[in-house]
Amino acid sequence: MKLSEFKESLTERLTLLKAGIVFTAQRELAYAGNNWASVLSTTFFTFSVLIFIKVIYSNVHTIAGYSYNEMLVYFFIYQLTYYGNYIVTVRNLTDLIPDVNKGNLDMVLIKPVPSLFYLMSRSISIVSIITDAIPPTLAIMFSINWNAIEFSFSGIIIGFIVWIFGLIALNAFQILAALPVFWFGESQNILDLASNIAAGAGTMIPREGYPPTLRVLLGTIIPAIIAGGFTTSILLNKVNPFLLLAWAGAVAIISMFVKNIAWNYALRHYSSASS
Amino acid sequence: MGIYFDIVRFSFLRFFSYPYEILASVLKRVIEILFLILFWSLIVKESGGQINISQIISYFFISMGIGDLVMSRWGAFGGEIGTQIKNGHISNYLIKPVGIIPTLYSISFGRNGLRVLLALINLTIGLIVYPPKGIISIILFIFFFISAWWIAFAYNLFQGTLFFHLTDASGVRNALNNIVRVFSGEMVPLYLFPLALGQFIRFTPFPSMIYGPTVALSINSFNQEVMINLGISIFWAIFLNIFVYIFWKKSIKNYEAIGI
Repeated sequence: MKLSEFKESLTERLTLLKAGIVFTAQRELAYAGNNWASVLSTTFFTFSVLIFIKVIYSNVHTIAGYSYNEMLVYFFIYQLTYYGNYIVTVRNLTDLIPDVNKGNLDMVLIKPVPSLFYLMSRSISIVSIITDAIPPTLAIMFSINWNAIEFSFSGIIIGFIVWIFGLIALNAFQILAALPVFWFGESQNILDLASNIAAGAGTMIPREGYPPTLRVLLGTIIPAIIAGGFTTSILLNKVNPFLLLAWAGAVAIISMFVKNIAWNYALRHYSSASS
Repeated sequence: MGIYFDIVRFSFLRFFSYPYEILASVLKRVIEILFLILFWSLIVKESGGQINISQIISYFFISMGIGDLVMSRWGAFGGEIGTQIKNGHISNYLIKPVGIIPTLYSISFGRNGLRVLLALINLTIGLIVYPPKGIISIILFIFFFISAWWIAFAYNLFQGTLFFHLTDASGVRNALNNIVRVFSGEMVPLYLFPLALGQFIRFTPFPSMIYGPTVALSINSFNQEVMINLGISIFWAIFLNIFVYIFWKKSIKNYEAIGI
């Protein structure tokens, strides 16, 4: 690819991204009352988990080697992962499935834009996720005793890179889970299953709590614990960060390739008929 | 009555159009349970014998089952009412010679038919792992369960009715569901809560939706505490249903049948 072509492609993607963000924000801000309710919802969710952790730790001192404070750090990363994943992946895939089911994907495919990028950027809910995420995330941050945790600068940098790799791998995994809609006409429950696994079915199990085989499985084929579990382990100095960095990087690159191949294969099976 | 069974059946059969979706739903439940077992086995390991693994696993099997049967987990019935109001589709039922509330309940029950089946399996496994203490447990379970159903019914109807007043009440619904998740005993059994908080929650309607019927199966006497808990549960079932029905009646007058 020539430099001019690359620039053109990049500009096109940035234009699509901007349009997606602005449109989604306009759509979401239309219902002011419900926006406040969404803030209330995420805040209540956070408080419910904070109470849950408090109750659990009133019965035990550690879980998988994590103290109460360390578990709060894990919850903090877990929440950031959820919001990161929701912004880029979940909303867009939830919109994609009915589009394929009803044959509306035609309208996307006839547009002269990279289809997968367009589909994954048309509902990026940055505005609402910021408003929804800030109050509960602050609540978690204020719950953590930061002085009791020893962070290293390299740990934070590597942790952040691993977190991004984790989100990339998770995005690919969830796209793969949504693709059966091209063959079967529906895949919402399959996507829900993938998202449920990615969220550890709502439980708070740190990376160290999984048996070794499951740890490998959830860090490779089903990349559910990279963004949350790996990142927290690195931040809390519980593991060699370079090992996990290499691991997460390899999984992210492979998953991107697999996702692109699978997407192109699925498109060839799109019959343009509603089901 | 027959028409409502037909609605349940029809709504349930629609789900079978996509067999892989059924498989995914079943797997989702299996995964949920596996993670739960793994998580609680970690806690049991650290608790030094304070928590019994079979008791806690059985608790979650039964509580998940009850939550799905009475629809207090995620308020499926409330969600269905909300969607119908938001899209203006409720007009379809208002012009038909059917009871609007039973019809919407039948639709959501049918659409959640698979969850109901999985709930029954959950309940059965829970009872096998930790069987009821005796006939008294079963009698108490029936009373607590009926009460839980009515409270969950009022809770769902309340959630749905909010859509008459707020254009989109899904955020409020989620907030309510999150409160219920903690205080109903769905996430943690109430006996593991700090004493003062546990005592406070006991007098709210939330534990009656899941915790009440779940622990009833491990009670083998009609002692004073049990009777108070049952009394609280029945009180909320009656009070909430009267209150929510009046709210529904007043709210439906605001409906403009436009849809958005």
